[in-house]
Amino acid sequence: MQPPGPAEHGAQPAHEDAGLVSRLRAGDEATFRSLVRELHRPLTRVAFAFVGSQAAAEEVVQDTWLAVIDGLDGFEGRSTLRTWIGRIVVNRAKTRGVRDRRSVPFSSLSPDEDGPVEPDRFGPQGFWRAPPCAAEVPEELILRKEARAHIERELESLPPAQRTVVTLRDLDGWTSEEVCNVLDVSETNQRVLLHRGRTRLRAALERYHSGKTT
Amino acid sequence: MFSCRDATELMTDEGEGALRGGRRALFRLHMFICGHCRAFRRQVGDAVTLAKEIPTDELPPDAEHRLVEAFRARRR
Repeated sequence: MQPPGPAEHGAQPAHEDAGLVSRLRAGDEATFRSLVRELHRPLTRVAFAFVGSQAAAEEVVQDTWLAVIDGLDGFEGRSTLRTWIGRIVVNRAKTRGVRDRRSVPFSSLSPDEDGPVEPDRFGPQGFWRAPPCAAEVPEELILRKEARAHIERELESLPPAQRTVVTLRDLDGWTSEEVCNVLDVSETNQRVLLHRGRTRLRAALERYHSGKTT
Repeated sequence: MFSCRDATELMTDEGEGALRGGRRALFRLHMFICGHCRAFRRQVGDAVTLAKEIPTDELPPDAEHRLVEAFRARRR
């Protein structure tokens, strides 16, 4: 049995990634394949926010996987595995963005100025003048898919920083800590981006509902 | 005065555990008395639920194949 020690002194990840990492180090292809599938969307979204094109984002992610394969033995488990991989994507995407002269620092893709709701929906005291409709999401499969398609289109049209944060948090289930570490944004900034993104999705759902009733 | 506009701006902070003290108390009181803001919050939740159902983007099979080949070659 190994004595407990600070994770940074050994190459043994101390948390729940340990089993995953040792399988990868042992060359387990099924583990690698499922990790590649699981992380394809979040990593591509992250890269896209810095390079601004889908093709360049996919290239960055492919290159990252090669770096991950080579660097696995050096992973020390000071962060989660996906944070570590995410940081490699960000570093490479930034370099690529500079090369392509598309470099946009993530923080400048920052919160837009509008609040989460159109200002004229509130009266002068800030109380609802035009309150949100109370419609429920349809249970019926076809209608639900239709509503979901509206949400998906809105997600694709969000500013890249919001889209990235909403994708990582809500679609792929990353923690706020992971998102902050990978994107190098503050907790506050992350929350603002998440809030703006989510409330824009809400507005899209509301438009879908009102389209159904008119 | 704590308005509906304030409540809509603080929904995510509350959900993320970032609201404290008096602000949190005011937020919760407001949500208790304001059905419109509860509808707003439920709709944000509905939108997120639908977003979670969006199928993940698939990696093209040839790209995945190349990566697995690289993994096999380099981890041998």
